[in-house]
Amino acid sequence: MSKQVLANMKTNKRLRKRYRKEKLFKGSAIFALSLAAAFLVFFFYNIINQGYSALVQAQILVDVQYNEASHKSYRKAIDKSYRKIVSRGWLRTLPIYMEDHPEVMNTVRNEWVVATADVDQYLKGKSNRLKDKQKRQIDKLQEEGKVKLSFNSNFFTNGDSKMAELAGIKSALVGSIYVLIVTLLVALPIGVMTAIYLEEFAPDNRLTQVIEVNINNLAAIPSILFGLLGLAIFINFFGVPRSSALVGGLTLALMTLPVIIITTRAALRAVPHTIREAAYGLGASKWQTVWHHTLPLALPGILTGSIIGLAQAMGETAPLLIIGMMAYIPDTPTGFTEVATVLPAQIFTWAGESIRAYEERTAAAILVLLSLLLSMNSLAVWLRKRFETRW
Amino acid sequence: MNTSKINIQDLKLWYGTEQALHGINLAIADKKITAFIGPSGCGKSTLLRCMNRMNDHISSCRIEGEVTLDDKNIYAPDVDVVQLRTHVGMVFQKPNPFPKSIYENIAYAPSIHGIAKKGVEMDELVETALKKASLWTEVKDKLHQSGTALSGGQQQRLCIARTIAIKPDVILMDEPCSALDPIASAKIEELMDELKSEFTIIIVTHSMQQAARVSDNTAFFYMGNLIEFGETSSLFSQPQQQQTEDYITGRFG
Amino acid sequence: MPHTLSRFDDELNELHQLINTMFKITRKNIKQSLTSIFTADSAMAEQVIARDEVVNALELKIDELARTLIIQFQPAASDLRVVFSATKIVTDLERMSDLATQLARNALNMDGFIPRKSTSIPVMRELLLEQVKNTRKAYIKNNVQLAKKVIEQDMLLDDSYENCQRVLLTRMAEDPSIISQSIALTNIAKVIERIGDHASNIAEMIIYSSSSHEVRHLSIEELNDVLEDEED
Repeated sequence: MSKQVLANMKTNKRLRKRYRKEKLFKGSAIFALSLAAAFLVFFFYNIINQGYSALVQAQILVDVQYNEASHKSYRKAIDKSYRKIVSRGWLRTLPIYMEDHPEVMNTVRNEWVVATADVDQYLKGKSNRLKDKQKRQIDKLQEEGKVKLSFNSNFFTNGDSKMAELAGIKSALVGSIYVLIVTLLVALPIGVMTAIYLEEFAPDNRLTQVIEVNINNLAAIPSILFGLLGLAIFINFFGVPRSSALVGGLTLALMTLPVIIITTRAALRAVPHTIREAAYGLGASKWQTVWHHTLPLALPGILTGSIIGLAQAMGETAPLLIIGMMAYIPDTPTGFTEVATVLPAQIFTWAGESIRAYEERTAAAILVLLSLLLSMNSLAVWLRKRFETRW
Repeated sequence: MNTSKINIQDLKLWYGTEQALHGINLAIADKKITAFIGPSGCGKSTLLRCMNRMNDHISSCRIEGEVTLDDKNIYAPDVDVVQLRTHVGMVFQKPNPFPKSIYENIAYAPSIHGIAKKGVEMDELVETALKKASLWTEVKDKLHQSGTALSGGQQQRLCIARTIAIKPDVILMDEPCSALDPIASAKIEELMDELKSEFTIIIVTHSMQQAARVSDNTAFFYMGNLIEFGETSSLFSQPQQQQTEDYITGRFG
Repeated sequence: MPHTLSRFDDELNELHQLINTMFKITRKNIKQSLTSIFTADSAMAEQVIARDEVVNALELKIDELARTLIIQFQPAASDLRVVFSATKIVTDLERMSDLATQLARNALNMDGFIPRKSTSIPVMRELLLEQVKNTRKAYIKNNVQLAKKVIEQDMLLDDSYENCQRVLLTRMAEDPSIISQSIALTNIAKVIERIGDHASNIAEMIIYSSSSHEVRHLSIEELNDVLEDEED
């Protein structure tokens, strides 16, 4: 008897086959995972590789003449030989600068000024449109230490510009924040209230079922259709200013609403039924039960879902295309009704530019957007971990 | 009949088209423990939930007949269900303290019903409720720790304390010991014995030994019908109905 | 209907069988002890005395089984009554067998004296044997009516005993030379009467077990009332 039992406990052919299958399955899962990880690594490497150089910008040490002549014609502020290599965009700002700072008038100052995008690209060893003569000039300046690459603060403090060397993400970033605030203020309360009503109060009848199905379908609708809806409702019907953060926020709120509703409902449903029974059993009304018990317990889930919904809205471009936010908007908005653009729209616009200097800015803007989205998602994860309740 | 606290008259209940209770008539004695026993799906829990209108939350549920508490029909249109539940408290199968502190667990219901004011009055109420639930000595030093950190038996006693705090007349217990170990169950049973002097207790239980130990009267249900109701000692030694006999001697199905 | 737990049925059945065996042996002891008195058969009397050990052992075994049943199955309702009455019945049976042993010892000490028709002891003997037979039958068939009959028979036996005592007393007054014999006879009559009492106790437990009515310490009229209510 015991001998037979022992014999049965050894690995046999069938068992080996089973183990083989198991290994195969595990192997393919690991392969798929590594493939996905490899894509991700490649993507990050590519973007960072392209984008990090946008953080520095070529500057040239020149004598700047602050006087009446240069106030009238800004090109005269610098020596003729530098005119091809110093940013014309920067020169244009000189008259205003002189008006604001009268003390600099009638002086000649040796200053580091922004070089053209082509000089910048040449210094970074990328393709450019500099003539050989100019290249020699730069090489000479470099030997004299009159050319350098320094931190590109313009990228963060300027709006979009037709001069690549001056183009920055500030207006898009601020636009994104405005849009997000509108989306949050509109979508979160409406979404959460809708979810609470559907989950806790609504009778289970044909109407609520239809609403449910529609909400679930809305979450799967191509986002560009929300743009059309926003155009029709907010711009054409309510007359909200075109291209404004308000209309963008409202449109994205429409898009985010189903996501928030679905995640909120899931969070509410995850609260054990026993908690509700406990509250009812103690004589709490329906509203008290939701407000005192169910909602606080569902809050981490709701916040996580909302943040993920907002992150999704933040990365959205298609609906904004329709409502006119995908345009050249160099000025930083100071209100919700002013024309604004958003980060993904800025990325899209730059990506279409032919000048090479925009390429690295595109990548850098993507990096900024990615890190924003990643930090929002980390916040969601942190919130979940922090407030998670154990039963 | 003048000592009965709850009177159930010809109570019928449907879930959708399925009838779960077929005309129940039952008088629950005041300040006594009444046990409901019967196989799963016999309607005992459903009947229990009729007594504080917990079934109101199920939209497909329809009720006919009367349940009177102190001669007042609790299904009358002028009865507010929230008010009713301050008279009829409930303890559930799985201990379900709120994920809040022990103190808040007990203070919650009195504060929403305005039974006690925050401060000394509430502190006293919490202490009394915990003492009555024989939990005070175990938790007095950790009133502000989470109620969910207690052991299962302590959690259930916390739930009982929470119910006592609203000073109900009747306490309904839906299988209060089914998730507990025997010692924790014994403590709950001991507690029920103590509470009997103040409250009318109705307990649904799957353990016939428990029903025999703790209750004064026992009702046996089968397929939505009340088969037999009587004093626990006689029901368990000489049941009058064959179905009761078969059930309590383990000859069912 | 059988129990869902079939082992419960098996063990109740075993309990039943053991009590049945105990009944059989006890009845044999009673019968043989009486026979040994009337035939002065000392060998038979010895057998009865020896067999009492078996009855004692059975009593312990049945008690043990009843305890096990209570621990394992927590019997309720009819099962509870069966187990509870079993322990009671066993005690009475053991006492009956003890009394039979006492009769057998008497038989050994009679010095050849054989009680004849001079007293009502032979009548008592017949009554007792009939009563014991009915008790066993009532137990096996779980028959309330038969058990009631046992109780009624015990009353007859009691009457006979009183009668016998009276006769013996009168004789002793008339003829002091037979006092020692008469005392021996009185003792025998007393033991027979006591065995009958135990049989009656058993019958009461049989009625309790099968009908759930408590009939101990009731008069025969009250007993009849209770049992008639049952039939209604």
